[in-house]
Amino acid sequence: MSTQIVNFEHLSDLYFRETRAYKAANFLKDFRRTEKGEELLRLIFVENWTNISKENIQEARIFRDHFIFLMKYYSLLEICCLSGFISDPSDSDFWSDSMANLNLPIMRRFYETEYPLLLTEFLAKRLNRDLSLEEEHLDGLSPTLLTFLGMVDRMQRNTNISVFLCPLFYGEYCGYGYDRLFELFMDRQSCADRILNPSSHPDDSDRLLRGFEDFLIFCGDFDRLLSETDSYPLLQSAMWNYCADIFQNHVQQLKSVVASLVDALESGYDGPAESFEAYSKNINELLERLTSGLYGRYISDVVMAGSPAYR
Amino acid sequence: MLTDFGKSLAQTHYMERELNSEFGVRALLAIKPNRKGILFIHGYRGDAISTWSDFSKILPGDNNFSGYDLLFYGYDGFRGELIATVGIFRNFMDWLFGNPLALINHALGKNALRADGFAYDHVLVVAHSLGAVVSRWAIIKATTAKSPWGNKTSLLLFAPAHMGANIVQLAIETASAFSILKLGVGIARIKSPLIDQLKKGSDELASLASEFTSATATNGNQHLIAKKVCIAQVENVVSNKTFCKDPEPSPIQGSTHKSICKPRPGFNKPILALRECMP
Repeated sequence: MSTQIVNFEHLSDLYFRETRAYKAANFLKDFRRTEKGEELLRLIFVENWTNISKENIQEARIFRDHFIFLMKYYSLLEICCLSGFISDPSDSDFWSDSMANLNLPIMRRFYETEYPLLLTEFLAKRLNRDLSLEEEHLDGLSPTLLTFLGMVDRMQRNTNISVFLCPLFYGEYCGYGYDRLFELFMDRQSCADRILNPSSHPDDSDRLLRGFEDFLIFCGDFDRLLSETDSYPLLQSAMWNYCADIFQNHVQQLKSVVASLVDALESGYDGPAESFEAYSKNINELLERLTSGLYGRYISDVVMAGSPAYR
Repeated sequence: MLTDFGKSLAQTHYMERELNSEFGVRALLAIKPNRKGILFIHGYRGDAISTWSDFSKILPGDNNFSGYDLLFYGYDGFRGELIATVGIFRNFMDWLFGNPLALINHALGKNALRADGFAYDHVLVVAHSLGAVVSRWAIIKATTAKSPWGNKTSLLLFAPAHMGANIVQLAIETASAFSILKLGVGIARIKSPLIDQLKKGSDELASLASEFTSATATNGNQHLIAKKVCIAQVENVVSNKTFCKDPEPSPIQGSTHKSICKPRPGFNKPILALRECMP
């Protein structure tokens, strides 16, 4: 059996069948068949939440997240297609359904403007035979891709990171903010206890704290992976674009929140000032590299500039 | 690339995935398995994968490791009581050598099933810090109890904690992203049972040494002696003294307790150590 077929099966297990993406795909299948449910589907646009009661906001968020999972799965498939990890789309039911989903006007509006995901757009173009990207240098590429996929899987399963990123993505609709983390950092004793003695029954502050910590670790790992992938410029750019919902779509808030949190951390620090400055500088530089768009430049400068699909 | 030797052009392993949720094991399973595994076990507050940094990236790209299943064992290294943690790891090894096929095939799916009768002939255990104590003690107990798998293992250890560890330093070093805070901690602030259990000369470490000595008396059970022990140059967490009959440790220049097991560009000593110990 071809490795590409097995890879596709494994991707499907991890990022589709075992996730909320599957629910969104089923919803869209029914929607396309019956043309019912459009009002509910409109809830994937946050602008339509103004008249929803506070109690129902969380349900709306969960519903919208199903579709984000599905669109991000499509992004991942695009990365795997362009790197030869899976074979090009066939005429199977899955790919036919995917094309129909991505061609729905409401979904196009979603992944093009509401929650911009360039790779999802590329997959739609691939399925419509408008654009078919391919990394030129495939030799020796699989370890990088395996590392990326493992990293993405672990991040998606990390509920603490989701808790940390929620206020960034949903603002007032999140139900909590970063003020809890600021307060925690100001209370040095409590902060130290929570870091040193992680509870087996974490409260919201514990989750935020762990989420912040895990997010910084993810950033460090992701930056290192991207910096070591210069010889695969398309793949490098695609991997960064997969996470552009974090590092591009909310760049100002992200930088501001992390910078403020690092400042607040300093209140609990009593070592040499230069050590903290170096620590703070490292984090700022790390975020700067990830948010500058540098790693994603190949797609914006070469692919999109040179493609008839974007002229 | 970190290592050019054995660089593989073709995909040698399937995607990383959880193999056994009960034991928190993640795995990169070989496409063409050779019935051998490399099992990584982290230390205090480590993580199944991130403790080992680039190992999970480098090994699938190197032909020398192409047939080996790469297994990453995760456990609660903070709250877990030492003897219970050893017992749970031993249960995991019983499962790994006894009946891994059902879960491996579940993870691989219908298009990549391994044939009936698949089992591991040998597993190299690569352990860091507390993980060295946990894994070796479990293997000693299995060997003493005449488990069928004890002598199918070998050990590569990075900064092992057999000779005692300073848990306060360990806690600070492993507070990962926030280690900068140094936290002004005193021993009373940390509530881990390991504070006493990993102290130099503790009852537990004495029992470990004693059980090891009995098991290796009259030159038996050589698999319990580490193939290689790597120690950090900048080490303020564990004692670098040699444990019982272990070989003279190999110091790794420029490494710390935390960095010693993390290969990265310009630092391939952990990979070279692994190559020396390949089963």
